[in-house]
Amino acid sequence: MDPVTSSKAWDEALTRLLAFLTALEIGGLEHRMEVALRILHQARERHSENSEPVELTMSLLQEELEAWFAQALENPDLSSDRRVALGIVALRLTDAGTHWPDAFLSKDPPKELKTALASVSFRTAPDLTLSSMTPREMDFGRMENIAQETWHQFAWSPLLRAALLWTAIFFAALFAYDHFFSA
Amino acid sequence: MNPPFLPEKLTADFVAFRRASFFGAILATTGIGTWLMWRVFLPEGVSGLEWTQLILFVLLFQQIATGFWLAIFGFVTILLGGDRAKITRTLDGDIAGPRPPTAIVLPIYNEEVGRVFQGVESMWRGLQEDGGAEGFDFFILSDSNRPESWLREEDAWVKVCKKLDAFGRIFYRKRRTPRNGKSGNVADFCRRWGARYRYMIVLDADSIVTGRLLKRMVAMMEKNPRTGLIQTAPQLALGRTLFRRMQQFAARVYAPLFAAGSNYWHLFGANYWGHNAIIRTQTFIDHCDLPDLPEREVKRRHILSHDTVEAALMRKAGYDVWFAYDEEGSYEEGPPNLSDSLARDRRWCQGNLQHFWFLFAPGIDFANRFHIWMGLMAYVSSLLWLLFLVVGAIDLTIKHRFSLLSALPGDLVSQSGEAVQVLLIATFSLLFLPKILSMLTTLRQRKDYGGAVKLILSTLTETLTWTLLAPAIMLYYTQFVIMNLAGLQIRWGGQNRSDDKGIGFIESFQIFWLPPALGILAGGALAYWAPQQIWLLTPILAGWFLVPLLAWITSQPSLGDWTRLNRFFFIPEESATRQPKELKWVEESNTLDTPEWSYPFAGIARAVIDPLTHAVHLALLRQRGSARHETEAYLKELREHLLIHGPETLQSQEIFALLWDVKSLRWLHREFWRRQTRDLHPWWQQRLHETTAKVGASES
Repeated sequence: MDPVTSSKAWDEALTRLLAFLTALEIGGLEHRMEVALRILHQARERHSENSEPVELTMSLLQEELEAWFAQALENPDLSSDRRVALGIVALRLTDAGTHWPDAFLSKDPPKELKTALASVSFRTAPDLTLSSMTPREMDFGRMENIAQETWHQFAWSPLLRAALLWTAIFFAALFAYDHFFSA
Repeated sequence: MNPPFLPEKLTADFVAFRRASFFGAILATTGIGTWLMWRVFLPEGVSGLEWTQLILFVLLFQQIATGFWLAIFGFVTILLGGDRAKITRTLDGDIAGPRPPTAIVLPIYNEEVGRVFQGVESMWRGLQEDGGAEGFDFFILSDSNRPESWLREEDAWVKVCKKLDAFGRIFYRKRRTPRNGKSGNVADFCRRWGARYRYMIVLDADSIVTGRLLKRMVAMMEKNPRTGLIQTAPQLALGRTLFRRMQQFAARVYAPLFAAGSNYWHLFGANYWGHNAIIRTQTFIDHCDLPDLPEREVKRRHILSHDTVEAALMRKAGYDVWFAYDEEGSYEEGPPNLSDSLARDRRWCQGNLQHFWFLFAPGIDFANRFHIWMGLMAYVSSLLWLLFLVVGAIDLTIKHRFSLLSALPGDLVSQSGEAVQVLLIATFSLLFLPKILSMLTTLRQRKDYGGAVKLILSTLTETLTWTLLAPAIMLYYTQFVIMNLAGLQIRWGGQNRSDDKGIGFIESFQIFWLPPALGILAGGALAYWAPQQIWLLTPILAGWFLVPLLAWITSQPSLGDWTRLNRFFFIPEESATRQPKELKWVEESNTLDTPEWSYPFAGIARAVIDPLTHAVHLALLRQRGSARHETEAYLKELREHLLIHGPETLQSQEIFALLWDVKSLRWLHREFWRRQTRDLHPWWQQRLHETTAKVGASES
């Protein structure tokens, strides 16, 4: 990678990092810049000929997120992906960005933040209490038999088309009679 | 003070007297009308065509007579100070005390998400301000099949719960396989959580019920253990277009009489309208799951309009169904224009026609049979009316020709002129007297309706407009009925759910081309074969020609705004002093259109790009075991395709498949953020550009 291309690629990596952190809406601009530059610095250190700066930087960010939420949201039952998802939601629900503006992706998440995140209840529904509700049989009486024998035997669509056709023929004939044959 | 009403003390004689007087009046009126019609035909002997007209007349006249007597019985009841036998009188003031668990369920399907959650928020706040929301849980039950709707619903649910601190009290459930429409949606709720709640209050997406009424509904159910369902009378509100405002005005002025009249005869045999009603949940679970219809085709076996059938099943199980017709605080919104109104009628027509099967089914209560009959006639009568007109026109033409051929003097119609005159006066009285009585009743509260002059002018304008629209509506209902009976799908274009934009002038002619086209044909035929009869059908033809114009005018929000400003078609819910706070909150909040959701494919874009939307969606998705190899390969192909070729190249159900798959979404989210820009489709590049542009915006 020539120096110009390389510089552009690292710029793009930084922009992408900042865009992601901005979209998260957590923490102030200064904190976001600080986090972004730190990750970018790590990426530069790990960079090799075969790796793309954007890919490397965003992968590092993902690793940081997983590691940080493992600390901040202590729940061993969750997979790391799910923990990150729940963690991001919990951060927003607790307004962590306002209360702890510099805590996100910091080395040691404050205890109060951990408590706040752990207290978030994110339930879409109460526990299931299953009931049986099955479609019932219904006796529709004689109408059902009559319908089965008559109504359901009809092909209504051709009947309608035929009715329309005969109506048109009737009026055309009437018109022709009036116009040409009637005295 | 009157002692509270006790439904269990109602005697069979009392119920029989009320029903005998109501149906006796209808029978007598129909009998007199039929006799007059008979006299019209009698002088020349009753021909085959006249017999046909007579049979059609009986069916049509009984419908008009039913409406008339509903209003008269309602008027007299109100005049005498209100009905003693009504469910709202079972409460004797105090409704405090421990509240049983009650679920407020909102089945939704591709709705205006902002409006749905505004409603939830306002009802929650209403409950809080009226003494607390203990006992009530909200369930938003989504069957939406548009990715944007689904993602927006999740986003709105999180925001509302956060704002109201209501996690664990306001729930959201998305069905993976929506089956059997709204009734299937509610049944699914019952199967999963129904047993937790003694009552459920079923709402529509646009329903608003005040906190006070929600609590009164529960209290009424608690007082009446034999009652399985109480239906409130939802008033139309929050209308902006002229069409909506006219409808809500008409409903506010005319409905009380009809509602009071209905309660007079059916008492504990009321109907269920599918929303704004409270239901005893376990009873509903035990007795009200819908049967399949005895139809040949599988897709026609599911009952579309479930409510009327559920009320019938509730009654069949021995429980009362009451109509709390005089309770204030139950609201919904009407369709914004004629096109949307007809689109809704198309669905209702299909549903009501299905009820035919229950009309003669054993074990159905008489009151429910009559509700079913009225529901059927609401649409079938249009077909009958059109037939009546066509047969009548042919009959008159033949008579005229006969009179010319045989050189009989004068017009045959004039020979039975007296009977015709009496019949016409009677028919117009039956049609318009209820409106006059309703207006007179409303005049007592004229200040809430913009004053006496404006109330009268509004009533006259509304009556004139609907009189002109009626022939076109008859034509469309006839089309709906015939197509439904033939099992054909009716297409309906020009849907415009929004209240903010009217139908375009040209668009209106594109939608409503049928009535004017038929008007030209029918007018031409009459002018050619029976020019002397054309005056008889002028009102019908005028309605057919004018419908595109009327539909266009009434759909305009600016005209609606003007009428509101000048207090025409004014209802109490629009006055600052009478408007319930719940409606006010909805009207004041204006978060319907948010730009981040307003571009095509915003749903999938935000699920992939926006970390919070992505996280919320993943958090709400159920983790599933590993997919089959073929499914996994299919999804892998889809997600790669999405990033390389953009969302336009995928079908909606393919995007849906990705949105249901946790693995695919995670992959898409990561890949979008870490791929080189050049490796993304231009559509995604554009989204990326917009996202990075926000960095600059946030810095500045």
